[in-house]
Amino acid sequence: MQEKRNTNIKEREYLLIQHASAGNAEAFGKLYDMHINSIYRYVYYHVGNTADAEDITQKVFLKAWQAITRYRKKKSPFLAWLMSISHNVVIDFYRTKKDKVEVDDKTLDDDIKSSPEQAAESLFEQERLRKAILKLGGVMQQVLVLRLIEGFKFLEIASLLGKSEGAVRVILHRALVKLKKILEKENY
Amino acid sequence: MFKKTARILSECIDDIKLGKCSVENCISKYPYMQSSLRPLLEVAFRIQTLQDIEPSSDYKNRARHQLMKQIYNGIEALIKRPPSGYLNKIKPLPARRKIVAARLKMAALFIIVIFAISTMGTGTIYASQDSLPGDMLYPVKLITEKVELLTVRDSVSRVELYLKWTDKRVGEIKDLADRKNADKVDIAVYGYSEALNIAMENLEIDEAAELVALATTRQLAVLEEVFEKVPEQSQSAIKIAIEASKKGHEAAIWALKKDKGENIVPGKTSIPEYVPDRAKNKVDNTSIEEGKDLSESAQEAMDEAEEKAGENEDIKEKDDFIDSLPVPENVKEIIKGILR
Repeated sequence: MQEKRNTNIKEREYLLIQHASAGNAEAFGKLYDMHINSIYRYVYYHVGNTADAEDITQKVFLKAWQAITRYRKKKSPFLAWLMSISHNVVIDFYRTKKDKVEVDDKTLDDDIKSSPEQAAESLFEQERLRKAILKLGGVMQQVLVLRLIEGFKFLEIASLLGKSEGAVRVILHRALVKLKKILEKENY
Repeated sequence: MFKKTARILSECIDDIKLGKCSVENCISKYPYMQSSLRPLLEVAFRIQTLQDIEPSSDYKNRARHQLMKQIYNGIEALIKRPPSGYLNKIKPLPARRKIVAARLKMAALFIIVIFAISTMGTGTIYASQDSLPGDMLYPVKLITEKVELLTVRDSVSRVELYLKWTDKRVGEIKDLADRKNADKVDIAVYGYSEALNIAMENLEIDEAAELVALATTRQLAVLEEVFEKVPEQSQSAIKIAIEASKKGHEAAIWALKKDKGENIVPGKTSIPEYVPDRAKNKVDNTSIEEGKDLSESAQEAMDEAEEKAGENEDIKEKDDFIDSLPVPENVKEIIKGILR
């Protein structure tokens, strides 16, 4: 049932891509709706603050619109293609940004449903984890976010990064070991 | 060893994610790795709780609006930009060479049509004209349509031709819905969107913009009627066609009004004065019943526009040329039929 639903979503996505490639802006708007959260999250884990994450996410989608005719379905999933654009835009961002990148001190969610104490504790924990992930940097951070947060398959990450599946597994392992050390160092 | 540990860790993460086993089950499979595996799995699953990072809905709406504005500004620049590139640098052909070029074009068309008739048979080509997406003869129909492109000489005629195809695609969408064969609607919707987008490349020409505005008005009514008929899984495809039609309509009106110096915002346009009163104010909220009236009135308006464009003169010109060809009368009639 879930598999059928996923297939339908993929078919719908591909149809939207075809229409967007033919110049249909509204179809591209729907693709934006489908992937904005993942792209924002991916960018956020690279830049660590809301303002830059918002600017970069906007640039990613504009670049994607400009390049959508070059997207090839067989090569990689559409989200992976968007991620590769995001990666390049983030690299450009670091190249041009002379000042140190600020990391948000707060990313509090307004819709906390649990008690204020629990919510605060949970947010505090999540915030420390986020900062620890940001410290990983590079390909480790990329693999960790793609696999554990975005749920990409190892094969998809491998094709996105131009590495073998085995290499991606090893990177994930190293990333988790390093992350554990960072968290321990901070008495987490 | 390191690779093996990495593989086991990945397998454990996958299995736990899929609900095949718990952290404890997984660790118990590899007791010799318990001390190294457990803390890493704990960290991995703590990270998964971080999926909650999302942009605010305010940002999403604002950014979407901004993105669409930038896209439409890009389209506007494209409409207003004079044609560039190699073709633009070619000097205009002298009159006599133009005539020769036109003759060569017609000769190429003639060869293609004769080749098609000889290989597929006249019956096949005729039969293909009623085919629908998914039918064996549908590709033949599309090929014969493309042949028509060779006969058009100016931008407005080209727009008319592409709009004729959009009409055909809408007809196919309707037929497929009537026959409860909604599986293939996607193919017709794609063809519709593609042809409409090419027709929209010439919106800087007033006449072309008017034709696009009228055609999309008519097509929108039919599409909205079909939308209600098709099963839910095909509605998303029809919705795309409806949106493409609305955007085409808005872009056409935008182009017409822009030329008249009126300040309008894409997405918030009104129906142009060129559309007959009966059809006005019905596009944005057209119901199925209204859609039928709209379809009829817009059809009449389209007929009038076609008359004004002097289409009949073009047909006569093409007929004269075909009559002069050294082929039997029945073949001439077939060629005329295909070109119409």
